[in-house]
Amino acid sequence: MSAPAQRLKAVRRLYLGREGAPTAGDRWFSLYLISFVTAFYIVPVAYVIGDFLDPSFAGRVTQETSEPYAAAGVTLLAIAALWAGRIQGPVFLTPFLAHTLLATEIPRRRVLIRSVLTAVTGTGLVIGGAAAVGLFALTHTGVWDWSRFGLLAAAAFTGGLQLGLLAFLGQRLRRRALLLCTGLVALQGVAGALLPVVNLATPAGWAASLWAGGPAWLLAALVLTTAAALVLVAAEPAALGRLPAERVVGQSRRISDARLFTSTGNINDAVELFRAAPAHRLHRASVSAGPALLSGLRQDMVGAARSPLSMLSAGVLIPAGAALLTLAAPAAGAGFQESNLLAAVPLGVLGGLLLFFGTGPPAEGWRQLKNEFDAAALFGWAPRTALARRLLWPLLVTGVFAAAGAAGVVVLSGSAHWSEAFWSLGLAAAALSARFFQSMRSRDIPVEFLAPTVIPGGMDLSAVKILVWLGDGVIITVTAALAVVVLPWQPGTLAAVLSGMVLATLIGGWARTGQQLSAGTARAPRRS
Amino acid sequence: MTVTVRCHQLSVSVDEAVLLPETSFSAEEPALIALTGANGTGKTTLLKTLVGRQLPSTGEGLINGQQPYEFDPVFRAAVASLIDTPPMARDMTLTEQLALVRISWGAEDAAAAFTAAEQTLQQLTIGELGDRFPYELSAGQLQLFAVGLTLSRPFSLLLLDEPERHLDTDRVEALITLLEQRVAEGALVITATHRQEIISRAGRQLDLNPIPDHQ
Repeated sequence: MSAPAQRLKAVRRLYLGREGAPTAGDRWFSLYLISFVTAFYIVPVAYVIGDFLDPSFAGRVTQETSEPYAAAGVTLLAIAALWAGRIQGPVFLTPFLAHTLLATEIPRRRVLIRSVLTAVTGTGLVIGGAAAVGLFALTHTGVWDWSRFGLLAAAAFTGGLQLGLLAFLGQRLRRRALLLCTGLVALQGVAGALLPVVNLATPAGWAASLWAGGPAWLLAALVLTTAAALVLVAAEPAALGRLPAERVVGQSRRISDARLFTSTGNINDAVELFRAAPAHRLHRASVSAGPALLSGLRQDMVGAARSPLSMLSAGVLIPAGAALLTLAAPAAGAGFQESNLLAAVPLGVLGGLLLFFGTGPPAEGWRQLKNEFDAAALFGWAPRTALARRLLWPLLVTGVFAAAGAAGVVVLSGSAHWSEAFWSLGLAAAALSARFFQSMRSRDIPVEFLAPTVIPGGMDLSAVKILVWLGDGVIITVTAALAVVVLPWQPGTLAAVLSGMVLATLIGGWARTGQQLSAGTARAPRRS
Repeated sequence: MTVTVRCHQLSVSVDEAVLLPETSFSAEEPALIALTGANGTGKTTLLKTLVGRQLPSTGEGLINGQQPYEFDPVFRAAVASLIDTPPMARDMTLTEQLALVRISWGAEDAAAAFTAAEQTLQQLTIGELGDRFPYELSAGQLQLFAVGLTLSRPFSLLLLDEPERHLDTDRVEALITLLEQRVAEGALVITATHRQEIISRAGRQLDLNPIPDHQ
C-alpha cells in the first residue's frame, strides 16, 4: 500500500473533484466578501464607537481594578468552550469522509489534523477579530497606545486558539474527565476571584493581566498566554489519535444535516438536531388523570426530569441573561448615560439572546401545544384548556431562574439595583412571550413569502421577509432589550411599553394558531 | 491472514435490561457464520461488542486474542463491519464513492480503483447504476450499495447486521455469492440474518435464541 500521506492526498483530490464541491473561485469570493464587510462596515463602526466613547468610561473599564472581572470572564469563556465542544467539537469532516477514513489504518491524527487546525484557527481569527473591533474603539479614545493595541489583538487571537483547543478537549474527553476539567477551571476562577494573587499563576489571570495589567507585566503575560496555548497544541496529537470514530461520525453527520436544514430555511429542524436526548424514563409518571391544569404541569415536569441537560442549559442561560440585563439596565431611566452605551448595548443584546435561548427547554410544552392544535381531531381539548395546561411550567421556570439571576447581581454588587432587576424581569417576560410567538408558527415557511416582493427601485425583499420569519422570536427579544438599554425612558412609560409589547406578542402568537379561546373544541389548523 | 474470534461468557446489560445473554463461541477458520435469533436476542449487540462499540458487562470477546480496540490500526485493518447504514456522499456517484474507499485503502492508481468499483457494482447486480447519486436509488439498491462500500475495503473479519434488508431473492443470492467468494479468499464472515437462504448456505449457525427448558 502507498504511504498514508499519498493515500490521503489522492482521496482529497477525488473528493474535491466531486460535483458541487467548492471551487477556488468560491473561496476567493468568500475572502472578498469578508474583506469588503471588514473595510466598509466593521472598521468605520469601530471608529465611530471610539469617537462616541467617553474617555473616562474607557479608563474605568481598563484600569487595574477591573482585572478580577476580566479573569472571571475568561474563566467563564473557558468553561463554555469545554462544554460547547461536547455538543459540537472542532473536529468534523463530511460524514462520508469521516466514516471512510476513520475506518482505515491511516493514523487518526493525520486524517483529522487539518480539520482541527482549520476550526481552531477559525475560532482564533473570529475571536481575535471581534476583540480587535472593541480594542480599536478603546485605543481610539487614547486609553492605550497603538503598540498595546497590537499586543492585545495578538493575545485575543492566542486566546481564541486556546478556546478552540478547549472545545476540542470537550469533544475528546469522557464525561467524568470533562467534569473534572471543568471543576479545575472553575476552581482556579473562584480562587482568583477570592485571592487576586492566584491570578499570577493561572492562564485566566495572565489573560486578564494583558487587559488591565501594568506595562511591565504586559510582555510576560503575552508570553505566558502563548505558552499555555502551545501546551494545548502539544497535547493535541495524542488526543486526536484517541478520538472515537463513532463520536466524530455522529457529530459530522449532525453538523452536516444542520447545515443542510439551515441552507433551506428549516431552522426548527436544524435546532432539533442539537436537542438533548431524554436520559431517564419515568413513563408512567407522565400519564395522569386529574385536573387539566395539573396534568399539563406534571407532563412538563416529567419532560424536564427526562432531559436534565436541557433543564441545566435553561438553569445557566436564563439567570446569566437576567444578570447581564440587570447590569445593562442602569441605562434606563435616571441612570441613562450615552457614554455607557458601548458596554450596555453588547451586554443587553447578549443578555436578551441568552434569555431567549434559555426559554427553549421550559417552553418545550408549547411545541407540543402547537402539535395538539395541528392534530386537533386527535386530542379534543378546548383551546383554552390546552393553553392553560401548558402555561404554568414555562412561567414558573423562567420566573424563578430570571429572578435568581437578577437577585444574584443585586446581592453580589452590594448596591440597591432593585429597579434594574425589575426591568430584567420585564425583559424575561418579553423573551417568554417571544418564545410563545415563535412556538405557535407553522414549521414550513408560508408559501406567499416565496413570491417576489419588489419595492420601488427594483429591490426584492422576499429574502428579508423569510429571514424575519425565521428569526422572529430573537428579533422581538433583542429589540425589547435594546429598547430598554438604548432609550432614555421614564419608568412609567417603559413599564407601559414593555407590557404592551408582551401582550401584543402573546395575541399575535395566539392568532397564529387560528384557534378561538371561547371555542368548545379545537378546530383544524391554519397555516401561518 | 486468518483471524480468530473467541467469546467467553460474554454478556451485555444496560440498567436492568439484558441486551445480550451470556454467550460463548469461537471461530478460527475462514467461514460464513449465520448469527440467528429472534428480534431482541442480542445479535446486533454481539456485533457491536466485537467491533468495540459496546463494552461487555461480563466475560470477553477477543479478536486474534486481543480485546477489540478501535485505536489500534492493526485491528482497524483486520475488521470491517456493516451494522448501521453508513453515511453516503450526496454529491458523488456510486462508482466515485466505491473508488474513493479503494483509494483510501491504498489502490495504486485511480483508474484501477474505478474499474474495480464498477466490477463490485456488477457483482451486486447494480452495475448500470454506477453514474447515479444515492438519492436516486430504491431502498434495496441503497442496501446493495452499502454492502458494496463495505466490501470495497480489505478485511480478514467481516461483521454484517442483516445485510439482506430490502433485498429480493435474486439479490440475496448475489450477496451470498459475494460473501462466499470472500470466505474462499480467507475471510471470516459473521452475519446476523433472518433469511433461510443465507442460513442454509452458511457453514455454521450460531443461534442466540434461549434453549427451551425441558423439565
